[in-house]
Amino acid sequence: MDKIKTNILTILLWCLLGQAGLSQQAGLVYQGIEENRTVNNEKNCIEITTRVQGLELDDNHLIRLKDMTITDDSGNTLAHLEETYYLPIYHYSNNSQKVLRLEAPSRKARQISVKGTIEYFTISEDLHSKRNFTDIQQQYHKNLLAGNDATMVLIDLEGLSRLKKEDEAGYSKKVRQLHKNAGVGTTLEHAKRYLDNALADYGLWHGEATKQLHLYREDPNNNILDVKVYKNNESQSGGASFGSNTFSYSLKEGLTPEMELQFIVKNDSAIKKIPFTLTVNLP
Amino acid sequence: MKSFIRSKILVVFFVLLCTKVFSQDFNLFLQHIEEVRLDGTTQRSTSDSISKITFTTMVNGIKLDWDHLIKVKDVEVVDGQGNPLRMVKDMFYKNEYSDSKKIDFPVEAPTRQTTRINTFKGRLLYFTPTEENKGKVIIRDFLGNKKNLFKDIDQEIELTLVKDHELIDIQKEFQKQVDEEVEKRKKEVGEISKDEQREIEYTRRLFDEMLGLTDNGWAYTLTFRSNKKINEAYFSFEIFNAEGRPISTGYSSVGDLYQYHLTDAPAEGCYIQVIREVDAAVQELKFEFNDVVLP
Repeated sequence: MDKIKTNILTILLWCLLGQAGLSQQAGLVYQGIEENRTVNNEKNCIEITTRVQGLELDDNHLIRLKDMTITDDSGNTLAHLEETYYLPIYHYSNNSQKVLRLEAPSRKARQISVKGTIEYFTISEDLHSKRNFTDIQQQYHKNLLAGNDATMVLIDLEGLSRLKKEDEAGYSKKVRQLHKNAGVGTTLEHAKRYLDNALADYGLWHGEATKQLHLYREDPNNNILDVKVYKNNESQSGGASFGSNTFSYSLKEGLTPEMELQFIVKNDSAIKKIPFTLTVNLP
Repeated sequence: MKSFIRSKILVVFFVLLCTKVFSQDFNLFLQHIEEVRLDGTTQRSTSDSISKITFTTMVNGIKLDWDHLIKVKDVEVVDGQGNPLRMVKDMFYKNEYSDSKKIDFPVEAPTRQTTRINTFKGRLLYFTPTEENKGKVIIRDFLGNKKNLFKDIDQEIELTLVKDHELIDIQKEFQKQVDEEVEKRKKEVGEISKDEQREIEYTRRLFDEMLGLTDNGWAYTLTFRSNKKINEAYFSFEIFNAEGRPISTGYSSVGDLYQYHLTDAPAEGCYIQVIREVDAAVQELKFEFNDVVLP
């Protein structure tokens, strides 16, 4: 019996050790470094190739690097250079490889230390980072992103345009409502100016009204990452344009009730912050 | 290579300059330094990639064109700590005669803490082939010549023109050799595999096509037999028409046979021009840079 007990304990111990070994801790691991030093007008730079490990990455699980400080072993801070467009590190993506482009340290430096945070962003309706709206024509004139620290108000330009022509007082009342209830405009004056301009532009536009969505947009913290319209899971995007407070979205087909308006929006509950420290020996 | 051009080396560089005079004409300017230091695996390197430093120099003060060419003979680089740095002759490195003023010297990178290069010196080869120094050889009236075309030029070289009817004999001889090899192989393995058969057929066809015995797409050809590998023995080997226009576009070779592809039919007055690196056509140019500051 004692022998059986010992065997069972040994097996249990192995299982626990095995699990501990298999579970990768989430973090940033070093893969390689390239340093370019030159006497011409280009900046001397280093590119540290790293990989994020221990995190599930796909279309709904994205990462970016943030709040990085890089110092060499003499205490000098190294500046970030622009990120490569094909391997973004400061914008969310599901690519686990991250290449940090930094100014090169002096020849005396032997080591650099990189400290920062991996932001792990989960896109889900439960976490309010994916907001879906069907029956889009019923969504006019309310803030669709209330609770997401952003304002996105779908404006019925066709209806407002008609109202302005037929009932000036009714239009002014509607503007006040849009400002007060939906958050259009930082002030009432701003709301009036914004809507007057939008309607003036709309008057000059000769496209099909049902193929264009006009949204009033306020996003001081850049929380809105993506806006899409789907019909049967197929994107209806015919192009989009941004103004300071405007987001216009063209549709391939005229708006129908089964179309779905989707926002991908950052928020604290959908972001897990994982600090990392990386020490790199210079080549 | 015994006579040196008197040369003056100007080292133009942003921190410390050093000049050594060798001649009044030749100058080698150190124009650029670029260092790439690597470790691990990156987008452009693997774990076995070598860190290197490339010195880009510019030749000035001497004529450079297709009759005045230059390449590197040897280089010696010693870093500030006294360590020699060897040249990195990887797949990107080419040292061929060229008329370009720009010459790159890629060497392995010194240690990170090394801030200077003590010495960077070497020799360039300046190649000026002419008929007088025998670097340029013109062979005229060769179409009817059955003898060694280099007979009066260089005893070590044997180059003969092969006539079309001789090619047929050569072709027969080659096919016979292949037949013998096939028989030998059959005795060894019993039956020759399909793959091997395909390879044998391919070899036969390749030989036929190279020698123009089948329609190989070349309207005009001339075939030579050479005891030296043409691409190694000569800097260039071209055929010109009577008006001095090159008519050869390249060659196919098998064994010691070289078949030149021509744009025009070889006619009376056409000639062969061979450019070859002989001692009398090559001069050494020394250069030296000292105390070069690294970026």
